[in-house]
Amino acid sequence: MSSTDLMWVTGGPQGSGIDTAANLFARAVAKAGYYVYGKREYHSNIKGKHSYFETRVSRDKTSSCMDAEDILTAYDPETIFQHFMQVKKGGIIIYNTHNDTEDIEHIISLENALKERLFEFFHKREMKGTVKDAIDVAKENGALVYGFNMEGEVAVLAKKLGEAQLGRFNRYVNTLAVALSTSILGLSKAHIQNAAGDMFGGKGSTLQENIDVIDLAYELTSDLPKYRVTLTDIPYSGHRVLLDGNTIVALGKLAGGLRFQSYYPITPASDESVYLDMNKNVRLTDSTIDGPAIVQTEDEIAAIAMANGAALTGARSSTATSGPGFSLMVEGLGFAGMIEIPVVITYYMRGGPSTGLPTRNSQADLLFALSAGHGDFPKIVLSSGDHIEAFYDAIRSLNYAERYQMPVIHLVDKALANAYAVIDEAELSTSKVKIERGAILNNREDNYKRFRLTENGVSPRATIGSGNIYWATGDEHDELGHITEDPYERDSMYEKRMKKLVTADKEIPESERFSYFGDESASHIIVSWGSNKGAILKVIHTLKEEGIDIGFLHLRMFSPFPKGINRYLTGKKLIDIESNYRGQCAYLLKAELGITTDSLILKYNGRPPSDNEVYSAVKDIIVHGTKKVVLTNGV
Amino acid sequence: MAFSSFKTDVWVDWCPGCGDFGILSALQMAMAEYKKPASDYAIFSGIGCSGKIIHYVNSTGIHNLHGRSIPMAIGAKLANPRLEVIVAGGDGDMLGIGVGHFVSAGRRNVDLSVLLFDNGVYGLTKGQAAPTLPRGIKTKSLSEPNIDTNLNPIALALTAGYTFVARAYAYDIKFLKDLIVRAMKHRGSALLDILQACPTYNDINTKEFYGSRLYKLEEPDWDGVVRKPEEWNDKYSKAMQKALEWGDKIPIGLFYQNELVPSYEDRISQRLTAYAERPPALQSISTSDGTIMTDLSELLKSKRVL
Ligand SMILES: Cc1ncc(C[n+]2csc(CCOP(=O)(O)OP(=O)(O)O)c2C)c(N)n1
Ligand code: SF4
Ligand SMILES: [Mg+2]
Repeated sequence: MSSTDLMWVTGGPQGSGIDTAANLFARAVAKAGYYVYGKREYHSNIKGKHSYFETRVSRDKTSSCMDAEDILTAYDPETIFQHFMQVKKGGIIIYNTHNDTEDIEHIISLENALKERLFEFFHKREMKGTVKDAIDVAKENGALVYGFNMEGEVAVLAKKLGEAQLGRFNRYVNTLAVALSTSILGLSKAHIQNAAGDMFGGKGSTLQENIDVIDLAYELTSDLPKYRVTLTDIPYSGHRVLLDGNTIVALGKLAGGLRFQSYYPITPASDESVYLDMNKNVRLTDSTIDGPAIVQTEDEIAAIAMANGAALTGARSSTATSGPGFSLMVEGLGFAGMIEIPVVITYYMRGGPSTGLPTRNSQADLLFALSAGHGDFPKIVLSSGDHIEAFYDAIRSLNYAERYQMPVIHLVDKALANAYAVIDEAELSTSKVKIERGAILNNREDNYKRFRLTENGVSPRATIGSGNIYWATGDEHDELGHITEDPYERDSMYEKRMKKLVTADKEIPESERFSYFGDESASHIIVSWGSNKGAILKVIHTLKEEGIDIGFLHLRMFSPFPKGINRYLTGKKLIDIESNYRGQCAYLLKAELGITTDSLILKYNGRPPSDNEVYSAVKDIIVHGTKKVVLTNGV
Repeated sequence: MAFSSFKTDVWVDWCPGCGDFGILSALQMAMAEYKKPASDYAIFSGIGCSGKIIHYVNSTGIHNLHGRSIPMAIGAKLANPRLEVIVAGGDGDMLGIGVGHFVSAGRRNVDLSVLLFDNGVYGLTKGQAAPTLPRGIKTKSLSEPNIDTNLNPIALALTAGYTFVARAYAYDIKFLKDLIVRAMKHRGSALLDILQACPTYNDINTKEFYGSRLYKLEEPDWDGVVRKPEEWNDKYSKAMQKALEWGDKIPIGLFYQNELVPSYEDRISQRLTAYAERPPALQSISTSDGTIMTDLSELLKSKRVL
């Protein structure tokens, strides 16, 4: 069955072990040789609100999700109400009959707007709106439903095992639900038990209890028909890892020689810093243990200031934040631009403005990142499209910063930051990139001029403490770094700084700045950026199978802007796809190249675009010449 | 090294009679006396008249954003603890726009010396009230008396956790110089509140005003140094009480010092194996041909599913 490609979904109240359940599932199916791409959706809340994981299981690597669910695994009532309409015809719902009589009215965590939509929905069908009602509707829609009294089953097992405290066993309802689904998917029991071993090994009786619960799930389902797509073992080679976007950026930074990171907690950025803090003692190839200092600061203003200060000493430095924090960093960013500090800001985009949608996806900060800071100053702005790109971009960002002595903003959207993927370990190779530190002055120089005017704008950089003395000021300055307001000196310094961007533009290869997919002769070209990449790749593949050729230009660097993309775009019908309202990338195409995009596909409800909605929108545009499609799918 | 070697030939553009001149001389003398090579010092200054000081000192100096020199200095110090890091800035800079950083620095106790140029006004923006100017006081630069109550830098530093808290006077250069040297020697965050006149905008806190009021905290009458844990309560309380003295008599000198509190660098050393021996700025990250030296294999292994 080479076409294995299915969506498995589980949900539940935040803080109730959903992350663990999804992790267990992903690890289990990965062990059978499948790739996994999981999307994590959650509220800005610690306990109680609905969070869910959509996990795509496929034979080939993917970096996107489909809306239609193959398997919905729900042990709580809200997950049913949130997802029952998403299950595809022939898809499966595994749910907890314990909740049958629960109705919408009494689920306090349901948001009012959804409650009202559901009331109306059930009212039209003359139903009260219980879990059972939702299940019946799903059945009508063609879903196959497997109900289990999950609490009851776990209780029986607990008793059998002589477990007095039933309450303790209740926490295995999650494991039971996951195992019921893997059994129905025909996944070998050994895989999920081994996955449990990875996760709970060394945690006392927990592992054995999980194993027992998994045995129970497989027993309960032994006579039930399997799903039409089964996860039988498929061949694989090498090692594979399960990583989310935050972690892979952190790994890239460690590979890139990060030696200082400051941060102020914010979603969806701080997981990166927390991971770095937990793994700061890094082994080097010569067996020494070195590593970055990680500092939690009093605010983001301090975070950028500290990273700037550390960078001056020669330590590779960065900070990570999202919109609200970046807003506070802007003055410090300009300072880095002015005194030519190599500093990296990993900018995780979430829904704005203001606090916005703190835990949801967005690509609305592109223009802000590009224009952040008063006055003109050079900065490099790049963005990653998937996990692998994020890893190498994190390393390269540290290189760019030092080579061009300027701030680098690495944009990562929330969808990617929180998406977890099974990745071939060989793809994360530290031998594919070199450390490039640019012009660093190692010897002592008499009368050292930190801001010496040079041909390419880059002045040899002495680090503080290396034996040279210099001055630097956020005021306009001369080559020595002292304040000047002389009009001619102003011009030459201003131009020197800006020239570095021209140098960067010349030196950074196109392969690090954009990718082109598909046939170059296609009449329609999709232009997009960030994590939309995954869904778009799927869509152009599907359309190709239908005989429709579409090109796809994935932009990865916005400053310096890769004007070379022009050769792919001129004379084509352009479709811009972005997760924002204004079509910010389309605006840039116009500003940078004078190119007008023909159609826009936009999404700003906080959920990343899925394959199927992108597909329909693109089709709509190709067939009807539609100018603008707003995508609205998502739970 | 001679005191004069710490001078630059940049024109010092403060107003005649400004207290900043005294602070500059005292700093240069202290640096000479402390005997570190000029390139081992790093001075981070804020924005204001005071902030310009780095251009007049012949050692590395970063003239920062308004209010941000403390966190920037902390970043540099933590990345390379071998540097002798000095922060120099105004009362507006560090107690107004940067007060959050001022307080947070105390909690960390990073080894640095903070020189607070306390002139009661925002000099460079033409004399608005700074956070150290008492409420009800009307300097000649103000159209009405100051509406806000003042902060007490000594009490605030004590509360925040600074482990060296002192006050000096810009026109008593030797006394100031000695305190700067002690602040640099101190392991931990040192706050030196430096009373200075701003003859251009502040006609209240003048040389004459201070001249009759200042007195020195000196042994045998005063000893603010905590040498044993048992002494802490007594010395800290006395220092706090002393901090509240402001009127006909104003104390200058070392209010409090406590080197028993671990510095932030000590705390990092507990967690970061290499830190004391090879701080971040001095670690190798690649071989000579640029090959990455980080070995990710252990970290990746912990994430393996296959
Ligand atoms: C973010 C920001 N806001 C305002 C200013 C304008 N500004 C320049 S100097 C200054 C006040 C300086 O007062 P103080 O720190 O007491 O230094 P002094 O001049 O008295 O030495 C202000 C508000 C600025 N440079 N940056
Ligand atoms: S304005 Fe005041 S603080 Fe500024 S230089 Fe003149 S006297 Fe000194
Ligand atoms: Mg002042």
